[in-house]
Amino acid sequence: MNFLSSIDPSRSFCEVTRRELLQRSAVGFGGLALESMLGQTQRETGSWTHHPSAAKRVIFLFMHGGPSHVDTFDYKPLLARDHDKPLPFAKPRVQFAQTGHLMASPWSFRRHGQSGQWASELFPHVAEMSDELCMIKSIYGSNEAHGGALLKIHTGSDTFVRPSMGSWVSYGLGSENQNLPAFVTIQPTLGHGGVQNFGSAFLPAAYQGVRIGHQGGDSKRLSIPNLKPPEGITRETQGRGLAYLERLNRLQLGAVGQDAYLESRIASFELAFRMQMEAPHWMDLSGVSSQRAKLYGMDSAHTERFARQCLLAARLSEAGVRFVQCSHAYWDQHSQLKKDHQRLAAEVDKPIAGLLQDLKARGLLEDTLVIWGGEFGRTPTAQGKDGRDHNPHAFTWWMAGGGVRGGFSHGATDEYGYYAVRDKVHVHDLHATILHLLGLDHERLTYRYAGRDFRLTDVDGKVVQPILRQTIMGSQSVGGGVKSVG
Amino acid sequence: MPRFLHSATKDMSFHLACLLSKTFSHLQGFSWRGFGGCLGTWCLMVACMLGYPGQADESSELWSLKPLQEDFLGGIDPWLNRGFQQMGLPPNPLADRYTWIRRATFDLTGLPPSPEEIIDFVEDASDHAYARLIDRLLASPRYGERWGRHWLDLVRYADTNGADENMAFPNAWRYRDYVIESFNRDKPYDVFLKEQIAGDLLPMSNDVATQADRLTALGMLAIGPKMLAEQDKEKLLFDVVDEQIDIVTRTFMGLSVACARCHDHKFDPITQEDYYALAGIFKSTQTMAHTDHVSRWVERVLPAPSKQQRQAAFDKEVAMLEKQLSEAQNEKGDSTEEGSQEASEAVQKALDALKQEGPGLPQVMSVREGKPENIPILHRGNHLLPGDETVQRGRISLLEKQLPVPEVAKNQSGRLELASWLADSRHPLVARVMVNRVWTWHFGKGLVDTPSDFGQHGGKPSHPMLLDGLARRFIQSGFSLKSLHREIMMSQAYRRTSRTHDEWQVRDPENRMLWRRQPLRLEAEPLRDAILHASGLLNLSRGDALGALKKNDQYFSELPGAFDAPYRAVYLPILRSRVYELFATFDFPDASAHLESRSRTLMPQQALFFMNDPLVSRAVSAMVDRSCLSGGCCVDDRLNHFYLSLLARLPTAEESALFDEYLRECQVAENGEISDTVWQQWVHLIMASNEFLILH
Repeated sequence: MNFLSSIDPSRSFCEVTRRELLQRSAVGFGGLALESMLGQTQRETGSWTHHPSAAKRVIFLFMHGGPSHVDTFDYKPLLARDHDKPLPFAKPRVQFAQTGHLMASPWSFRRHGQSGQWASELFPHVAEMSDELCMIKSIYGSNEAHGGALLKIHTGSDTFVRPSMGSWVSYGLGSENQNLPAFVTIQPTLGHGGVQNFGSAFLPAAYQGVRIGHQGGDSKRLSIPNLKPPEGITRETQGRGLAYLERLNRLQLGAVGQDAYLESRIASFELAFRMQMEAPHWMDLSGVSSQRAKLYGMDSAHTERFARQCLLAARLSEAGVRFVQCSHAYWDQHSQLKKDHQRLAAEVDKPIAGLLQDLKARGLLEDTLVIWGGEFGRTPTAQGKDGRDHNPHAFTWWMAGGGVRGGFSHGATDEYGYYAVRDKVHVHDLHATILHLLGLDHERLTYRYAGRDFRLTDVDGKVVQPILRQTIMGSQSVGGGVKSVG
Repeated sequence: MPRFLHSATKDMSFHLACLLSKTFSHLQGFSWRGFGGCLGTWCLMVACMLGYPGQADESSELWSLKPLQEDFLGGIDPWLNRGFQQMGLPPNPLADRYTWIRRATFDLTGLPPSPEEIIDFVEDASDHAYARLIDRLLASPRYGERWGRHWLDLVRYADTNGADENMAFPNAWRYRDYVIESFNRDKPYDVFLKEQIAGDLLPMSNDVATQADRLTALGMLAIGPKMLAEQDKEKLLFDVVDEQIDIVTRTFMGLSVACARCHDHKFDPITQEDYYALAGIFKSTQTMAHTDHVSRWVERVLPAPSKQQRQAAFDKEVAMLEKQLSEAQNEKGDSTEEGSQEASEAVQKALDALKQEGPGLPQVMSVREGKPENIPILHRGNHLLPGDETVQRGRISLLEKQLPVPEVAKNQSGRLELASWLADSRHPLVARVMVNRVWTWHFGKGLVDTPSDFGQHGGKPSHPMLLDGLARRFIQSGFSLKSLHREIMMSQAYRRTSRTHDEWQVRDPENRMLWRRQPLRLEAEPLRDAILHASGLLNLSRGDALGALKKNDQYFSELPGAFDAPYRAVYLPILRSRVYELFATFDFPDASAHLESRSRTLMPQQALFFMNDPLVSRAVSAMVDRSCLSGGCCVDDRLNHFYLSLLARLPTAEESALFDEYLRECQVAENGEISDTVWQQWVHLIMASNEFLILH
C-alpha cells in the first residue's frame, strides 16, 4: 500500500505555501517531509548543498566542564620551568574565580605518529591516532561560566536564544535516513542551557535534537520514546489496526475534500510504522560482535559508559543520522586536577580511539567529521593548590575525518597557554568551518524570523581554510540557491 | 487629486485587480495552475489593500502607525462578503451544530464538549442557542486556562530560569495564575497591560487583592531567562534590560525594537536612540536582587492575608510535600535512575526548609524601582563602549508627533509613563495587535499573518478596515476580550465548514479571504487534556504539579513524575532545560523566548505517540471501562458514546459498516459479546484518526 502516490503534486502545491510546508513539515525524525512527497527529494538524499561536501555527517564528542588544554594537547614546556611563578602578563578583565601563580602540568608530553603531534599521557590511545587528528589550538569564546560557554559552543550565542548547531545542520541537510532522526544527542546535560543546547529555538520544532537519555541517567537503557507497541499488541495486530485507521481516515477525508496536511498525516503512520521496525535495530547494541565492542572498551567497567555512547554514535551515523552528539562529564577541576582529569581521561580515551579506528575500518571516517572538545579550556595558573579555573580565552579542539587535514595543527596560544594568539579561531569560525565541510555556506544558511534573516554565525564567522584537506574554492551552488525560508 | 476622483480611481483599481485575479485563476493548465493561483491571490490582496484609505496614499509611513479608521459598517461579515462578491464565488456554507460545538468548546476552553453538552446543544432549536453556548463557555473557569496559556506563549512563561543556571523560580506560578484569573474576569486589556509593566506604580489600592495582583503582574518583566553566572555583571544587567525591551515591544506593539541595541532598525522607524530611551526605563528598574557570583532576581512580599489563612496554606503545603516525599521514596525503591534519588532529596530539602520557615508571607517574582538614570548609546551594543551623551529615558521618536510618551518624572523609572502611553486608546498599534492576536488564536491565521511584526517587513492586513473596525470596537467595549470573542464567534466567518473547494483552492489557496474554516491541529496542551478528559482521567482542579519546585529554589533539571500529574496541562511545570517530551513532539515552544504563534508540524513521532504512548493506552482503557456506565451497554450505544466523546458527532453509516467489518475480522464470539480488548483497539483507532487531532 503506497500512500504517497495518492497525492497529486501539482495540486498540493497550490494548497500549501512553500513557507508553510517548510515550517510545519520539516524533516523531523526520519525526515517525513511534505516537500519530499511533493517530489522535491534532493534534501532527503543529501544532494542539496551549497557546494560539494567533504563530510556527510558529524559526531561531536562533547567534554562538559572544560578539559584543560595545557594538560592534554597544548604542550607548554615553560609551565614546568616557571612553576609557582607569577603570570608575567595581565589576567583578563573578567574572571570566573581568582587564580594564583603558574602551575606545571602533572603529566608529561611527547610527540606521536609520523606527524609528531604533541599529546600528554592522559590520552595514550587517542595519541596513537595522531596522524588522523587535526588540532585547533587557538580557539576562544566569550563566556567564562559553564552555562554561557555551553550555549556559545552549541548555539553561537550566550546572549540570545538561538537554534543549536545540530538543528541548523538538520535544517540544512535533512536526514540521510527517512526512518531515523537527523539530529540525535546522547545523554546531554540538562543543566547549563539544557534543551537549548540541542533545541531549535525559532527554527521549526522538527529540527530539534532527539534526546536519548540524559547525563547521570542509566546508559544501559538508552532509547527513543514510543518505538515499541503497547504491551499485548503485536506488530501484526498493530499493522492490521493501521490498515483500518487508514480507511477510517479516508472516510473522514470524504467530508473535507482533498487536503495536503490531512493526506500527509495519513502517510505519517506508514512512516512511523517503518521507523519502529528499523530504529530499534540501530539502537540495540546486543548484536554487536564482541571484537568490535572490545575495541571501544565495552568490556571494561570504567570505559563501558562512554564506549556505549561512542558505539551507538557510530551505528547511528552509519545508519544515516546527520549529527550525533555524545556528552561526557564533568571536566571541571577547580581542585584535584590530577586525580580527576586522570580518571575522566581514562573513561573516554579508549572509546574515542576505538570509534576512530572503527569508523576508519568501515570506510566511514572519510566522510564523517569527528569533533572533540569542551566549552572552554582552563587557566595555566593555579586555583587553590591543585586546580585550574575556567578559561574561555584559549582552548583546544580536534577534528578528524570528514575533509580535515590529519596530523595537522593550527593556531597557537601564548607561551603559557592563557590566551590564543596566533591564527585565532572564534567559536563562530568553528561553526562556519563545520558547516562548510558539510557543504553549507554559513552566510547563506539562513532562516527568517522576526523580520530578519538569522544564521548560526550571526554576522561573523570565517571558514578556517588551512585545516581543510582540500580548499573548496568559492561556493558555487550545486542544486541549490540561497537556502532560506520566507 | 480631488477626493471623489481619488476614491473613484481606487474603486476602479479594485475591480481591475479582481478581474485580473479571476483571469489568472482561469489559467488552469498543468504547470500554470499553481502559478495562476498565487498571482490570483496576490491580485486579490492588492484589491483588498486598495479598499483601505490609508494605504494608497502617497505617504510612505508604516500602515500600522496610522490612526484607526472610523467606520465599521456593522460587523465582520459585511467586510468579508464584499470580497466574496467581488470574486463572484460564494464562501462555504455554515457548519452543522456538531462541528460547531466541538470547534467552539476547544477554542474557548481547550477541552472537548461532553456527549451531554453536545446533545443539549444540538436539540436546542432556539435562535439563541449559539449565543448561550458562547456565554456558558466564556463563563467557565476553563476559559482562562486556555486563553491565559495563549498569553503565556507571548511572555515566555516558565518555572525555571533556563539559560546558564537552571534554577527554580519558586514563585513564577503566581504570575501564571494571575494571567488565568485576569482572562477569566475579563480584566480590561489596558488595565492588564498597565499592571504588567507598572503595577507597582499605579495609584495605591485599598483592596489587598488588587494590590497583590499588581505586584504579581510585574512577573512578566521578571520571568525571563538570565545568565545568572555571567561574571561580567554589567553585561548581565544590560542583557536583562534587552530581554525586557524585546518582550514588551513585541508583545504589546508587534514591533521588534531589540535589534536597535546595536544599530538603527533597518526597516522600521526605530532608532538606536529610541532603544536607549527604553533601556533607560528598564535600567532604572531593579530586576536583580544582587549580582553576586550567581546572581539573584528580585522577589517582593505580597500584602499580607490574615494569619489564619497563612497557617491554613502552610498546613496544606506541608501535607502536600509529605505525600510527594512518600511517593518519591516508593518510586526510588523500584528504580535505579539517579533522577528519582535526586527527586526525593529535593523534596526532603524543600520540606525541611518549609518547616523551618513556618507560615511565611507569600512572595512574588517582581521588579521594583531602581536608581533613575539616563544611559548613553552603547557602541554596537557593547557596554564597554558607551557614547558621550545620555539619552532622555522615555523620549522615543516613534509616534512622537501624534502621541508622544509623557515626560518621565526625574525620580521615576518611566515604566508608568511607558505603560500609560501604550494603554492610551489613541495608540495605533496596541489594540490592532491584540485584536489580531485574538483573531489568530481563533482562526489559526491572523488578518495580519505576522502577529508580532507589524513593521515594514511584516505581513500586511488582508482586511485592513475590518482589523481597524474590530480594534475600535475593542476599545469602545472598554478593552473587553470577552466581547471581542462574542463578536468573532457569532460571525458567519467563524461558522463555515472546513471543506475544500476546487475553485477557491486555486483562487485563494491560503484562505486569506476566509472562504472556509481552516482545519487546525490541536496544540500540545488541548491534545493532552482532551485525551485525559474524554477518558475521565483529567482532574480539573488547579492541583499542585509543581511540588518541591515551589519551595526549593535550587537547580531543577528533572522533576520525576511531575508531567504525569492529572491536572490540566497549563498547570504542569515548565522546566526550561527539559521540555516534556509529549509537548515537544507537538510543537510546544521554547519557553525562553516570545512566541507569536505555534507551529503545527507534522512528524512521524506524532504518529508514534498515538500508536505506542502509554498515556494513550491508559486513556483508551479507562474510556472503555467507563463506557458501560455512561453510554449504555449495547453495542450501538457504546459506539455512539465513543464517537461523541472523541469526535463530537455520531458515526456515519459507512463508519458503522467499517466497524462491523472490523468486528468480523476480530472474530467476535458467537454470542455477540465484544471483549474489552476489541473495543480498546477500536477506540484507540478513533483517537489516532485525523479528526480527533484536527479542529474542523
